[in-house]
Amino acid sequence: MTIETAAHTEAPNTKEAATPKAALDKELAKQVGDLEQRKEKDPFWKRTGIGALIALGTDALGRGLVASQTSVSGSSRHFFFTNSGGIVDGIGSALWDIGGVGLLAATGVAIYGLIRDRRLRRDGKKN
Amino acid sequence: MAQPIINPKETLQQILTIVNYEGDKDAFITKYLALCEQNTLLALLENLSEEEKTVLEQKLDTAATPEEKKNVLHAQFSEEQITDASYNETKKSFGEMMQKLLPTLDKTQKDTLKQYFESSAKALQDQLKIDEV
Repeated sequence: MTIETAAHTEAPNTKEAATPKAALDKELAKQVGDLEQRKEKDPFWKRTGIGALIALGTDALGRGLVASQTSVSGSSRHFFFTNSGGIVDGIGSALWDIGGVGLLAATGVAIYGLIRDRRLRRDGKKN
Repeated sequence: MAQPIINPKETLQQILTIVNYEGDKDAFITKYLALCEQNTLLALLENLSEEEKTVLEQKLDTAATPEEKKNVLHAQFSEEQITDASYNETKKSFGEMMQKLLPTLDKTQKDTLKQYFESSAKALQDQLKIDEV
């Protein structure tokens, strides 16, 4: 299933989310809806038909993710994320930032921000 | 002991397991990462000037196959731009996800999630130190 079809099959849940699954599913549906609106506002996206191209990419991504990381060829495993580390660092950084709402101690430095910056500097040196 | 953060799928699998997500974890992860990927591409496109978009559109028109079009897009953006965009988009998206998730977790789940994150952060930091030597 592509992200486009997910947007049409999962109506946002209006009830208060009481379980982790309900909370995550509800937020995912909301963000998919936001994405669709963002696409609608992008004339380049609509004009070039890039959405259909990206849908191919996400299908390939989906297949790659449920398969073994090593058994899927590089060309079909990832479309854009490759091994950039951006998504992993983004998740880590988000986890760190929500310390203020009770999960993590709000002490120390933002490790993931530092990691990201160091990755970029390191990659820049390589280039 | 929790595994360090290695890739997005494994990271999300660990988190969904810790919070006892009672559903199809693979389906959720696939949808979520597709969302992140498309937000990333939109962010990259939004940063292009109109002139750059015109040139890119011409290149896309010239490319005959989906594979060639993918190559055109890959060539348009540097690894740093992709990393930066995916980082920013994912951080925003996942932060909002966590804001909604946290009130539904009990203390044990929060503590386990905290331990997982801290051990992963340390492992990544150590790995980077090793790589830079």
